Amino acid sequence: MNAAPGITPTAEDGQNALDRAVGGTYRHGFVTDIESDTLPPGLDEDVIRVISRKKDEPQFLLDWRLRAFRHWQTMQEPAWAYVRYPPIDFQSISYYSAPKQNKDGPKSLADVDPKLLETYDKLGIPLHERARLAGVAVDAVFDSVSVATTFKDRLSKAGVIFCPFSEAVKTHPALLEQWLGSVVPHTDNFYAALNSAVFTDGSFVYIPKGVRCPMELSTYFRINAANTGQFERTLIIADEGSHVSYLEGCTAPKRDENQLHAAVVELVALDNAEIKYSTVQNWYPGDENGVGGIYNFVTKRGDCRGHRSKISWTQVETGSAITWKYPSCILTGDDSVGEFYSVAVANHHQQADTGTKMIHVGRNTRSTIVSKGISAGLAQNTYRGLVKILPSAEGARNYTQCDSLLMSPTCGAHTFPYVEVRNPTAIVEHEATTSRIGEDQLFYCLQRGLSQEDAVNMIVNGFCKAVFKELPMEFAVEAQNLLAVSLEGSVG
Amino acid sequence: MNATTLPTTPLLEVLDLHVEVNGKPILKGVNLTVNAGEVHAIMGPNGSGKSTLSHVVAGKPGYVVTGGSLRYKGQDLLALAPEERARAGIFLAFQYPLEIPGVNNVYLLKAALNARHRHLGLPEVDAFEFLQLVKSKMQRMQMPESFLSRGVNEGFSGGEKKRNEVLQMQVLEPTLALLDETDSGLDIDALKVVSNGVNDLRSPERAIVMVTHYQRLLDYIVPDQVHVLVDGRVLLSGGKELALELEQRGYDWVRAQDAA
Amino acid sequence: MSAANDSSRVDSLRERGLPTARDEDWKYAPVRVLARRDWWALPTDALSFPDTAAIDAATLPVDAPRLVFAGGHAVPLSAGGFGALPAGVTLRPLPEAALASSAKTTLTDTPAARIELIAAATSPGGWELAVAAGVDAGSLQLCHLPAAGAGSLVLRLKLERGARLTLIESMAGSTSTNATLTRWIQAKLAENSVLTQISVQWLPTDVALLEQVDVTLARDATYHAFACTLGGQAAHTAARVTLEGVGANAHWNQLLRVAGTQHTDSHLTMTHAAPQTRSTQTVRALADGRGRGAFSGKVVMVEGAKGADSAQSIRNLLLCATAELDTRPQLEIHVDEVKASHGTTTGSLDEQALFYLRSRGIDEPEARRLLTQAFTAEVISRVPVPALRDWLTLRVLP
Repeated sequence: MNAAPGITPTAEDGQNALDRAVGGTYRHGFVTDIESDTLPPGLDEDVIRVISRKKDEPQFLLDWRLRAFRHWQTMQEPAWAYVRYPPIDFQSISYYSAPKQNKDGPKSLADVDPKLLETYDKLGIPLHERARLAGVAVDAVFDSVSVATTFKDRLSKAGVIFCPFSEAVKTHPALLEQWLGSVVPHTDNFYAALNSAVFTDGSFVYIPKGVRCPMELSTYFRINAANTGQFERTLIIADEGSHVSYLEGCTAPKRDENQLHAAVVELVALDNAEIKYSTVQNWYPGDENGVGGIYNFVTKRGDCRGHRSKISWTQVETGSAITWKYPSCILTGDDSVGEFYSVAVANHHQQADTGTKMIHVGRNTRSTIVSKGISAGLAQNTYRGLVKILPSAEGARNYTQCDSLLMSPTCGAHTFPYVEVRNPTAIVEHEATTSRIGEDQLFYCLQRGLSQEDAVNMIVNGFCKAVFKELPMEFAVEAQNLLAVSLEGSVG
Repeated sequence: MNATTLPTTPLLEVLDLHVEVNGKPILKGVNLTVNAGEVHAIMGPNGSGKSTLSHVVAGKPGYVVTGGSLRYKGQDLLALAPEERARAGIFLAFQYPLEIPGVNNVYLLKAALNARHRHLGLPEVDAFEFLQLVKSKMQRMQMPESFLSRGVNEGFSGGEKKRNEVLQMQVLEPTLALLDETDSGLDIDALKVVSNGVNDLRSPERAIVMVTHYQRLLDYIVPDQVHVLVDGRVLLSGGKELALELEQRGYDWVRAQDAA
Repeated sequence: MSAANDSSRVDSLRERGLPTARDEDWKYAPVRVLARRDWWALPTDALSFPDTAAIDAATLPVDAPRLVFAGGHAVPLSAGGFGALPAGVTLRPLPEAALASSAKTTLTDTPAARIELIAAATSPGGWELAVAAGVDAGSLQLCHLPAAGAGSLVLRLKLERGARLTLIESMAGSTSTNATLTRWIQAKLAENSVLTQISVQWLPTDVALLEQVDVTLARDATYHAFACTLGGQAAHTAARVTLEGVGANAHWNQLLRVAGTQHTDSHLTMTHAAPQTRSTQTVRALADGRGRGAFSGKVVMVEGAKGADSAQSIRNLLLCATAELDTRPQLEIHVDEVKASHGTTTGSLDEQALFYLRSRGIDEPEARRLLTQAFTAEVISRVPVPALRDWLTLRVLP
C-alpha cells in the first residue's frame, strides 16, 4: 500500500489496487510458427469425408459422423444461456488443422518438433523431464493431433490404454464402436452434434477391470493455428473396480478474432469404478476490451453405469471469452456417487455460464455440488445446474452449495439452479449466497500488514478452498496461481 | 428392595437379544432383567451398543432384531409400535433430543399425556390443571416460562434439552424410564437438577435404566445394579461398587475378565 | 365496453395460443391442461352472476367489507352499489384508454406479456381500487369467482402516499364445470404506503387459472404478500414485484399445496431496482397424490441497487411417491455491495422427528399431521389475520 503514513487508504486506492490486480495480462499468448496442414474454411459432407479419410477411419465412424452432421443441420444453437455473442458463421471455420510432420509421426519425444516442445515449455507443461519427475503421462494435443505420448510402457504394463483418439480408432475400433456416443449421443445438443461430425482428435482411456491406474493421466490442449476450431473428443472407460484420475489443462494463444472450441468428453464408470476428472481451463479470455478470446462450448458427461461407481468433476475455469459447459453425472447404478466441484472466474468482458446436472436414477445415489463463482470487471458469471431425482431413485441424496463473490460494481453474478424431485424418500438441499468480498475480512488482513493484493488473494483462495482441495496437488498450486493472475488488480 | 414382595413377572426382560443396523451386528446376545422398583445402570465404551439397546426397547425404526426376545410386563414388545410402547409406560430420554420447530412444547406434552390417559382409560386432562402441573414441574426443573411458547426443543441449549426430556418424564410418569446418556453435556449444576428430577420418580412401581459413560451420574442417581456392555454383550454385572471399580480399571479389565 | 371491437385482436391471440414448455418460464407449467381450455372467450350479454349463496360460500371468514367480482365484472351486492367500501377507498371502472394502453405497453412476446394481452383483450373493462393518501383503510375482502361469459379481471390497485390496506382475496366458487379464471392485478404503492395482500386460491379442482400480478413499490413502501395456492386443476401464476424506491421492502410468503391430479406452476420475480431495498421470500410447498407443484423464484438486483438485501427460503415436502415438486431459486445480481441468499430443501417428513413424537405416545398419523402442520406454520403463523390461520391450517393438512 502506497498511502502516506497516518492516512487511511481510501476506497479509491483500493479500486486502483484492484485494477492493477485484475489487469494481469495473458501469459500464454504467443503463436508457434510451424507449417500446418489446414483445410479451407467451410463445412459440408465432403469436408467430413476428408477428415475421416485423413484419419484413416473405419466406415462405422464415417457413417456416425455423417449421421451427426445431418442431425446437426436440423438443430438450432441454444439461446437459453446467459451469454451474448454475435452469430457464429460455421462456414468460416476451418475444420481441420494438423501440424505438418514426418510421414509416420513422432516416435519419441526426440522426434517432436523442437518448437512444439518449446511451446509446451513456455506453458509449463511437465512433458519432458518434468513429466517424469511429476509422474504424469501427457497426451499433448496440438491443434487436433496428438504429437507425443509418454509413459506408454508403464501404462501398458498395467493394461491401461491411453492414446490419442485417432490411434484408438485404428488399434481399438471395437471398444470405440461400443462406447463412442453412449453417454453423449451424436444428437445430444447443437455443439455435441457438431463435434461428433467434425472432431479430429482427443484422448482415449480404458482402464481394465480391477486396475488402479498407476499414475495420473494428463492431456494439455492447445489451440494454435488461427481460424481453426478445436473439436476434440475424449472417451474414458473405467471397467469394473478400476480407478483413474485424469487431468486436463487448456491454454490458447492471443488472437483478435474469436475461436470456437466445442469439445465432448464422455466418461463411463462400471461397477465399483471411480473416475476423477480435473480441469484447469485457461483458454485465452480476450483482452480488457473484450476483443478476441475462445468460445468454449463444451459437453462433458459421465455415466455412473455401475453399482457403487463414482465420477467426480473438478474444474477451475479462468479463461475463455465465453464458457458454456455443464460437466454432468448420470447416476444410473445403485449407490453411485456424482461430484462437481467448480471455481469459475470471470473478469473484464468474460461471460461464463457453467454448472452441472446430476440425474439420479439408481437407488441410494448421492451427489454433491460445490460451485464458487467470482465475478470482476464487466464480466457475467452464471451458475446453472439441474438436480433431478427420478421416481426410481429411492433414498437419493443431493447437497448443493453455490456461492458467488462480486468484486466490482459492474459485474454480474447469477445463480440458476433447477431442482426436480419425484421421489419422496430423497433429500435434496440447495444453498446459495451472493455477496461482495468481505470488507471486514479485507480490513482485518490489511490491519495485520498484508498488502491489498495479498489480502484479496488470501480471501479469494479461502473462498475457493473447498474446490481446490479436490484438485491433485500440482494442479492446486497452478490453479491458485492462475486465480491470482486472473484477478490481478480487481478488488476495490 | 425385598425381591420376594415383587410380582413374579419382571418389568423388562431381555433374552439373548441380537440386533443389526444396516446389516452390521451391534447387539450379540444381550440378557437383562429389570424388576419394578429397581434402578439399573448400563455402562460401556463407545460403540458397545448401549444406545442401541435403549433405542430397540423404545422401538426406533432402522434396527433389525435377528434373534432373542424383548418382553415388557410379560408382553412381546417387538409386536408394538413405538407409540404403543410409550402409552404402555415406556419412556426414552433421548441422548440428542430433537428440535421440532413449529410443534409447540406444551402441545406435545398435552397430546402425549392424553394419549397415555386414553390408554389407561382415564379422562383427558383439564387444560387449566394441566398447565398448573407443567408449571410446577418446570419450576422443579428450573426451566424458564418462555419454554411454554416455544417449539419442541427449538433453540434450546444442550442442557435445556436434557432438562426438557426429564420434564416430559415427570409429567408423563412412565413405568419404565430409559435414560440415554442424559448426563452428557451437563455442567454440575444442571446435573444436580436433572438427577433430582429423575430421583423424584423412583418408586416401587417404576424402574429406571440409565445408559451412561461416566460414574459421575451414579453419585447422584444411585443404581441397584450396574451392567457392563462391551462389544454387544453384557460381560459383567454387579452392584453400584462395580461402577467405581470400572472407573479405576477401565473396560480392558472387563474384556480380560471375560476372556479369562 | 371494449369487447366488441376486440374480437379480431382476440382471434389473433387465440391463433398464437398459450406459451409452450419450450418457453423457459413455462418449463414446469401444466401446458396441456391449460391449452385445452378456452382463454379467449369474450364477455357475453348472457352473463349470470353467482347467487348470494354461491358468493357466501366463496367468502373467507374474516370481518371485513366485501367486494365481489364474477370474472371481470363487479357484482352489485346491494341496490346502492358494489358493497360498502371503507372510507377513503374508491372503486371505479378503468377508462377504456387506460385498459388499452396497459396492453400496448407489453410489446415483446414474452409468456407474461401474452397473459396480459389475453386479460386485457377479454376483459369487460378494468377496475381501479384506490386508497387515498394517509388513509388506513383497514381490511377489505375481495371475492373473485369464475363465471361463464364473464371475461377476465383487470384490476389496478393504487395506494397513495402513506396509505395502508389489508386486501384479503378469495378465489373460489364456480358456476360451471371446467371453468377458467384469468386475472391481471397491477398494484402501485406510493411512498410510505403499506399493502398487505392475503390471497387464498381455493378454487374447485376443475378450474384452470392464469394469473399475473405486478407490484411496484416507491420509496419506503412495504408489501406483505401471503399467497396461499390450494385449489384449481391447473394453474400458472406469476408475480413481479419491483422495488423501485429507495428503502422499499417486500416480503413474499407462499403456501402451495397440490393433491389429486392438481398441477400448479408458480413464479415470482423480485426486482431490486433501488438502493437499500430489502426482500424476503418464504415458500412452503406440499405435494400429495399425483399432484405436481413448481415454484420459480427469481431475485434480480440491478446495477445501482447498492445495499440491497434478499433472503429466500423454499422448502418442499413430498407426501407420497407419485407427487412431484420442482424448484428454481434464481439469483441475477448486477451490482456488488449487496447480499443475496437462497436455500431450498426437498424431502419427506423427518423420520427422527416422527420417532420422537411416537416415542411420546402420539400415533403415527397424528405425528405426521403435527409435523406437516409445523411445516406449513412457517407461513401460516405469519398471516396477520388470526381467523384465517386456523382456517388455512384445516384446509392445508391432508
